[in-house]
Amino acid sequence: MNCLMKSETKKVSNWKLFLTFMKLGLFSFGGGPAMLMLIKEEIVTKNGWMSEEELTEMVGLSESTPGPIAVNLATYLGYRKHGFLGALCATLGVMVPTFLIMFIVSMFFRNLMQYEPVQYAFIGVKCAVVFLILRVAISLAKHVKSSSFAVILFLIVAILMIVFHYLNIDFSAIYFILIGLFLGLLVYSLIIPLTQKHQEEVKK
Amino acid sequence: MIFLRLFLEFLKIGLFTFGGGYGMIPLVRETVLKNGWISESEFINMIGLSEVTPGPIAINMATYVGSLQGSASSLGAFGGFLGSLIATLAVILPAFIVMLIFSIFLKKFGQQKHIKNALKGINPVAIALIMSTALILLSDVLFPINTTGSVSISFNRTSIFIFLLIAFIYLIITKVFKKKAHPILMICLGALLGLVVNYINLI
Repeated sequence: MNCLMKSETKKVSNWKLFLTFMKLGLFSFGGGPAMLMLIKEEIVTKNGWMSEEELTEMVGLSESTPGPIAVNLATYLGYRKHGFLGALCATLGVMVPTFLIMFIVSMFFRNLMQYEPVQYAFIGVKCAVVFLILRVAISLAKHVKSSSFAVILFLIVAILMIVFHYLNIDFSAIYFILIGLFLGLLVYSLIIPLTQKHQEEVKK
Repeated sequence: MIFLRLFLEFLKIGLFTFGGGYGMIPLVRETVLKNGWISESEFINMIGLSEVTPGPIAINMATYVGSLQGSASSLGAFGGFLGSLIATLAVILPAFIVMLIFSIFLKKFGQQKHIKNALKGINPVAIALIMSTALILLSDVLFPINTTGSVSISFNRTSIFIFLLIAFIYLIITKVFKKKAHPILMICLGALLGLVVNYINLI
């Protein structure tokens, strides 16, 4: 994490932070990899606020904290540049354009859906959305292979979610996340270190 | 009070979402259906809109739901603005606070052993939630299964046809032409196919 300290020197105003992150919010569509490319260009190449290694580290870190990666990054970078106010400006920068555009869309969308062509188009849009989510789910699931613990947990939760859905059993996804948190700690912080200790003692 | 409810529900969503935008879909779906805010059909449309509008999907969804619920209140159009603002702020607040705490106190937050261990449990669960939600949505759009009363399956032939076409075109773009298929492109393709198939009565 030492490298996180290096590029502190350059002074930037809160306004500049706000504008830069507004640009990121405004020109990133569909999230994910496309957005990361843009972030890299703005933050690393153009402004030099971070090195590429720092950014990679940051993205990794964002996966261990809740919420959208863009917000995590804005808060972190804003704080480093200008403390609390900087964090606020950068985060609001990401939020404002997204918010305004979606707000306008939400005002008109229900009225638009009265028209037949729009309804027909959205029959196809639904199919595309389902395809996109499934594609993301499959590519994420490929990462689960790392340990048998992860694979078993993945399968049990996926099956339970589907069974609960069709049996109309009310069980929040939040509980699954909390159970995962608990099991991760139980297995990797408690059971595995204990069995390793035990094996070492047996060897002695 | 709808505004307080919006705030609390989206705060919860922001707090329990890991791994970016798609990780939020299972929880948002659960929340909007449970509260009767929008139907599943409109929820899927909303994801489509989020894909073609800029910014993180989480913010798009919070703004949209907040706007609809707020404008249904006694405050009318202003209520819509207020609702969407409250939901949006609530959904980013946990990320903001957690990241701020990290920036101030724990420089090596992500490196902490126990946090890494907890994530080894959270990650497979989060991915399982996305996968099961993807399969449930797939079934609901293409072949809805009705489990209230006697179990029955119906097939939406038009949707199945469009879905297969999209998958086919996606494979051609990525495997034959070795190009990336951007989400916006896929959504526009879906809209186009929806119009063509329905107007020509292909199926």
